[in-house]
Amino acid sequence: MDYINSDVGMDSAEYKHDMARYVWGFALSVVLTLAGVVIVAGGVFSTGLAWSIVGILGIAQLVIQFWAFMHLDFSKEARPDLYLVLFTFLLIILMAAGTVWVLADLASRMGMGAGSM
Amino acid sequence: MSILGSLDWNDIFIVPFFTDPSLSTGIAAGAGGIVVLGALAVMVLLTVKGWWKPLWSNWITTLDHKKIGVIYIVLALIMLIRGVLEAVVMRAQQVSPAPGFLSVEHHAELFSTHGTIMIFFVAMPFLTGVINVVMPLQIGARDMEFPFMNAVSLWLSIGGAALVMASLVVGHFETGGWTAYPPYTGIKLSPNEGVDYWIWSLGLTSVGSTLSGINFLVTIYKQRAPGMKLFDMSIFAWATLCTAILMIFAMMPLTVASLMLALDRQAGFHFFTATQGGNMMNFANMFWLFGHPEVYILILPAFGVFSEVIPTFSGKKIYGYTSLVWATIAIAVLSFTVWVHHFFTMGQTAHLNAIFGIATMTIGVPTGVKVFNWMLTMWRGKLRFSTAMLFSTGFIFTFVIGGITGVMLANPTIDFATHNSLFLVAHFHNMLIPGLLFGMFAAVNYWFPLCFGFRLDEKWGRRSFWLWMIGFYGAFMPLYAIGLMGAPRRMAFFTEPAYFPWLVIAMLGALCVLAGLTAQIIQVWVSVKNRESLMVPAGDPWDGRGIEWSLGCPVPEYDFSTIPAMTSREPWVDAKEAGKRVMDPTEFVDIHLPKPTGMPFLVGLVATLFAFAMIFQMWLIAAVGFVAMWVLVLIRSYDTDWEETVTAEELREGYEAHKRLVETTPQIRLDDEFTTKNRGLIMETQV
Repeated sequence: MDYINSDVGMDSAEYKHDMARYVWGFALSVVLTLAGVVIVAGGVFSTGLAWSIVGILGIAQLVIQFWAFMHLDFSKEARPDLYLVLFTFLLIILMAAGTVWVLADLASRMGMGAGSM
Repeated sequence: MSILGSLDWNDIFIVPFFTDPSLSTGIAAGAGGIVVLGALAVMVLLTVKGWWKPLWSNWITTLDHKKIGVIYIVLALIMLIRGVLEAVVMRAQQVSPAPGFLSVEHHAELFSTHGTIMIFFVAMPFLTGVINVVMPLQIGARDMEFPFMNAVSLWLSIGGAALVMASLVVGHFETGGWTAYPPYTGIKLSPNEGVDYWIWSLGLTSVGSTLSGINFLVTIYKQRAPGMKLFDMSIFAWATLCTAILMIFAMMPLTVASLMLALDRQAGFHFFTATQGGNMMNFANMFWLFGHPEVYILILPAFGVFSEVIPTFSGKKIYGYTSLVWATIAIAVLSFTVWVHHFFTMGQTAHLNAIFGIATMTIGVPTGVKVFNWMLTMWRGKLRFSTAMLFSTGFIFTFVIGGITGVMLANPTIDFATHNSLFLVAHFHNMLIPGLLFGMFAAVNYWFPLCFGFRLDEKWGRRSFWLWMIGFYGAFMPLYAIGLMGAPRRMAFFTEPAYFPWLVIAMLGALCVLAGLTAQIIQVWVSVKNRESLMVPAGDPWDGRGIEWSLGCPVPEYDFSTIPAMTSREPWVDAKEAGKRVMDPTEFVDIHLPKPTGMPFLVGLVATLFAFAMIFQMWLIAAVGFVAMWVLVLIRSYDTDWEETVTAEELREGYEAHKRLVETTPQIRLDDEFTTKNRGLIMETQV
């Protein structure tokens, strides 16, 4: 959003709408981060459960930041950007999961434990 | 350690020849000598002709996408000469009586540099250059979205190429092939600077390619002419879009893997060692996560070129636009799902191999769709066999043969027998020579007038095509045969007499390819000499279909006097069918173009210095170079006075001048297309 070079002033509705999104994004990110810290530091949950909760919180934060800071939503204007981001995730998952799969498969054939991979 | 790191006297190219005189060191010294003398000769020429200043102000400092594209292509052609010469030396080595005239290490260096150069410093700059020249002109953009970054990409690529050339003069290149698998390329087995040359020259150029990819993608997304939807773009622009996505995602695994290898070598890490938790097989995995999409980075732009050349010279619209676009998208996505087929024999289970084998065969389907699209475009068209069209038809024919052997290799059980054999070498040359080089040659012959205002000589162009075509078959069909007989790749010499006749044929084929390359150099020379009679100022020498042919040749620096109105997928064809000789202007407005700047050149220079220092472990110089690079970028970032204005009045004058020129240009018939009557105005109604 190019406020400086456009006719849209700083008191326009568009500016206020965007600013509100930024503040929400920042606030939610802080809350989700702190929640993660509390869950680990609090030591209430078992290790496995804590891992999963922190993972879910991380993904939630990712989604919120895409929405708040990168203007990604289901509107028609954001559709091409949304496709690009989804495609990016597809590729990253292909590469990361593919690597784990290939290396684990190799390890299984060499009598290596999963840990020494 | 001294400030010069591990660099010492014996690394200078001529010294080994005196300490250990032999034909092999003599050839090495000669090659280094060619580089040094060549550089000197260029400098003398520039000084004598007084060309330093125009070179600096017109080319080195330019941010114009067309000129940047031309520099990329020149870089590719220079490196192509080296790559082909290396191939001829290797072919000569294998027909001379064993053990040949090259030392085993020297031969290994040759095949390693041949592969590295052909992929990273011929193919990549070639396609990047063609995209730079053509893509903005096809989508109605006046420049790339990030012109400064575009120039930085260029100078990083040139820096990488300069390092590979430097390895002929200072030190050695690596000997582990273009894939440089550890553990052989680890510090224990390759202690000299060779692998570091590979790592850092690739580092520079792959960062450049990633930035180019980002530039192309954003340009297509943001700079299309108003009203042009993605499905209104030319097929070449679509190919660029998919290539850009592949460039952004595929270069990263390579950069990461090669930097991990650098950490292993210099900082005592154990990513790829057999001990202390390392796993060298992950290098092959990561390398091909890059390597397979890379194959499609190389081939998609050429597919795009054929999809422009074939309709133009068939006088027909491209057959099945939508299916071609979806085939391109499908190839781009599937290219990320097949990387394991490069190492079927590494030891994973048959189950996993089978899955990747099937995925690999699947990619043949969209490629097959494209082949039918091109054939059906030609079907019942009025074909004109220009040089560009010859390369395109030669491509279809030859590429299908390569595709068939590819589907054979995709079967893991067959791959176990042919793995690492010359059959594989024949296969990938069979894909890349027609699928990349022929495409780029067609592109140069087709779009050359846009940059320079004159056509290339057709007679020498056709000769070069036939020499390349015959040379290709001569050089690589024998390799299929002896590959199946069991000849492994990368051998310094063979002692099996049954291979010998085939190797002789391959040698003759390589010489024929060399003659084809020579014919192309002559073609450029002859065309420059006769440029007055080859001028096509009206701008449409082939009765073209894309809007790039509506601008006049050479295209003015601002590309479009007004951004064209997109009436359909082919507004230029619409205009010509309505009997117009120029497109109607839309609205003349003041525009801003980036000023020339020497900054990208300087960034490239210090980045190259940094990389060279890293190769020879000159840590202090490396640190200085690295910091200087970022300081330069920072200085540029605070420069607010980087644009100059072209007024609406100047644009209107440009438009009027072009219109007057076209109106006074004699109109010719298609039959006279290749004669000197062609001034760039062919007006025959199109189908």
